[in-house]
Amino acid sequence: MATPVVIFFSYLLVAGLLVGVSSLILLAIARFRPYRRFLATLAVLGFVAFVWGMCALTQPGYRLLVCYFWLFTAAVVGGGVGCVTMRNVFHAALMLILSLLGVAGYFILVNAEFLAMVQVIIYIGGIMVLFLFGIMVSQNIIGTQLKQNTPQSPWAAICAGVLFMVMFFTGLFMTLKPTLTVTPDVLGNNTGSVGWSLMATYALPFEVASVLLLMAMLGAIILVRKD
Amino acid sequence: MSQPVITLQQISYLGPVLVIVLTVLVLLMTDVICRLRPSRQGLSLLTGFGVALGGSIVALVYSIFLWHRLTVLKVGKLAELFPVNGPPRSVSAMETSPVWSSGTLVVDYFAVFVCLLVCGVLILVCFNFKPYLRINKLHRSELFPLLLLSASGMMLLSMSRDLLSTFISIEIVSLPLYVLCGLNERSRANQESSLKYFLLGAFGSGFFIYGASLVYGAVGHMNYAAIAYFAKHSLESSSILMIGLALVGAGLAFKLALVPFHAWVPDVYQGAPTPVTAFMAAGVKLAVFAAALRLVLEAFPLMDLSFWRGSISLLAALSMVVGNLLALHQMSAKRLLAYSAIAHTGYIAVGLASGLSTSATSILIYLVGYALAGLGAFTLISYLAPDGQDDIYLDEMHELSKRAPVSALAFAILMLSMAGFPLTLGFVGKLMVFSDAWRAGLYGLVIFAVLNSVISVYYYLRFILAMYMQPKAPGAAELVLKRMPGTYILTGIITVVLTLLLGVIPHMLIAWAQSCQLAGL
Amino acid sequence: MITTGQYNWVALFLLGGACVLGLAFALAALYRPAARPSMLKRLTYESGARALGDALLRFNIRFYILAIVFLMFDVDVIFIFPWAVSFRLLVFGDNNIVFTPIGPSALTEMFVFLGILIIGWAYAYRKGALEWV
Repeated sequence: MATPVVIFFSYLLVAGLLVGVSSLILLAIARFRPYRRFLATLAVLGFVAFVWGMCALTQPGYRLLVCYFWLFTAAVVGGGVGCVTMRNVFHAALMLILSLLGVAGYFILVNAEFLAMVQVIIYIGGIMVLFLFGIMVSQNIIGTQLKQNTPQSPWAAICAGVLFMVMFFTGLFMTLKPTLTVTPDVLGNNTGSVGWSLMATYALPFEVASVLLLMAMLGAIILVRKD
Repeated sequence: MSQPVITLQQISYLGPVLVIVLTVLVLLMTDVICRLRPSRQGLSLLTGFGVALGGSIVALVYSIFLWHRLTVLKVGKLAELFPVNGPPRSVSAMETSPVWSSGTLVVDYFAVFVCLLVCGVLILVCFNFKPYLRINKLHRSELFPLLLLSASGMMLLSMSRDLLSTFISIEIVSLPLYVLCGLNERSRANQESSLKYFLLGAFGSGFFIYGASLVYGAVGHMNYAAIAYFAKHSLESSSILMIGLALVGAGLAFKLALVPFHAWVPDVYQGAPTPVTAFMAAGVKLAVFAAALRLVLEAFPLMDLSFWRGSISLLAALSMVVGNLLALHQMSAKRLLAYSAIAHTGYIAVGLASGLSTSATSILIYLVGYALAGLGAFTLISYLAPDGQDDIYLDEMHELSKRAPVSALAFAILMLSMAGFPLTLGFVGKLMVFSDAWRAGLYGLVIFAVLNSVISVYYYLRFILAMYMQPKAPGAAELVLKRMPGTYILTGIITVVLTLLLGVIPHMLIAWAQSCQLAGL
Repeated sequence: MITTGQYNWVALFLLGGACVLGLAFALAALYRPAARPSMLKRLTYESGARALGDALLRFNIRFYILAIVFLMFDVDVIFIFPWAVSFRLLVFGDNNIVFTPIGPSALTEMFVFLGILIIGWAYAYRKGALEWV
């Protein structure tokens, strides 16, 4: 049923998408550098229009969810694009943090709050700190306007594109069948369920994980030790 | 009523692994305590070697004991540990399927046999390390805990029938090896080898865990039994399951060095300290093949045959041809063995592709032969290698038969075993693997594999001819022969004698290996 | 699946925080005298010590080792978390839930886990990895 309201919001959505994407592309081109403020504003406006259209077109109960989803998607995709296009490695690492935060948001959207916590504590709190330290202990890559482009980047782009298409079409034609779900969410929260699985079914990987952690610490100490 | 996750008796079936892990903890605590006295510099080489060797021998004896239990009790498996659903609970309709009694770990003939082999490899590698460290003046007795941890991972790998425990066991196997490759901080080659192995190994692990997560998404569980059950009972083939399993296979292929995923092998094998290379060639290959075998025989049998058999055959064929062709003109002995390792992986993968219930037997025999030949050859390389070089080259080996007749003879025998000459164990292994594949109907692949082993004879014979026939070119470098350390002699004797003995009278080994059936679901 | 409403409050809180911050700056802009930035005012610490060099300087490798050790225990905490949440159920069970409790072995498992890590910690301590020389 194409009421005028629906048509209006559809146009808004598409226009927002087009304006946002095209201004982002222009932003990446060096010639348009003088207008970058204007373009960035345009991109944000396009994004807002797109999300507004999306929200308006979904059922009332799902609107907030859609809103969150596109917000997190913006963080994930924006962070990812920023991570590969930023010239400064340090800034690229910061963009990666943004992307990981978006993924944590996704986890919350699918009620996996434990994974969201792991994402924040381990990835952002631990691994990204390690990344940043790794950048900062190596003299030649900090602070410089390092050019990240390598001769292989077209090949990398092709590989990534092919992988993306494979995953995209698999996801598109994937039918979700009832699977052999073994651990129902009996505890009401998945942190408790994870605890249950770790202690009962995956007791061995759990214990071995401690050996693995011991090993990692041992290896790190042995590798960096100076006699 | 509460029910413990694992009973004491079940724990006792994990004995070999526990013994090794306890030895590691003892070694670490000894190191900590040794440092309490200001005069001491931590774990000494002799203590480390002694404790590690003791632990491995106890684990070996324990494995023999478990084997004995299996034969006495006349059961296929001693225990299924950590069943899928945790402790038993009220049965609903879905749980009447046999899937739910399947455990995360299984202690069966196959697993115990692999444990035995891993312990054997571990002991021989410990033997190798002691003189190696002394001669190269490396005060690195911390390597013994690392070595043992890696071996404990190998044992777990042979028992695990669950993608998660397989993954974590592979990590336990690999992480210590990344460190061990960079053992000598003064050697650039060591550092390079460590870094390359780490980067590509981490890449392979990434493939594996991504695939495992996709499998979990499709099936809802990571147990092999559950995967097989799902593959049988789902009406249409699930593309996400196939992609997941393909990625898992790619991860395993990385660790095994099957051809599109082999790029790390030559540099890592050549750059790593020779005993570590021996451990990688003998131990890692053994354990990861055990895991791959379990995956293929337990998770795949109900699946579409063409899916996995075709891809494994392709990888096998590629590995054989690429490994052999690149090995033809290698001058360095370690690099030659690295490329031949790729080719051998291909031969073993032929057995994997046949996927019969007897494949476990033939692959195990092949692996025993390969492990013995590899361990012996690398021992001799580390004995013959000049100071600071850690490798020998073809032109240094001319006329070796006159100057070191025993070493040359041993090296020649081990090379012949690798090439698959009759009267050596290598021949028995090749014969069994190829005949399995023939019975499975993979005629083209078998013919291809036989042609490849004919090619491989060329480069093995090139080294043997250099030692026996070719005169030394004037002005060529000459190996300085030292007195052979006792443990090298021991390793050499054990490997050569076993290669010949089991090659001439293989019946006993075959009989043992024939009882190594997987316990099944 | 619609998320339960509890996270809406988190979002609302974040939004409210941003609004308060923006409001404070906006009000301050109305109230404060016009900004006349000068060389002196642009220093990092206007009336403190003078900042030397770039913030992006090279760090000591020691930070890296500390970060690795930190990461180990970070992962460790992640494992303890779900255990603690489900501990009561693991030990005593619940009549409404079909699972059989695993009893005291829940505690034993965690002790084994932590015991192995404590040995690792002792090793790191003895080897001087945690020292700041």
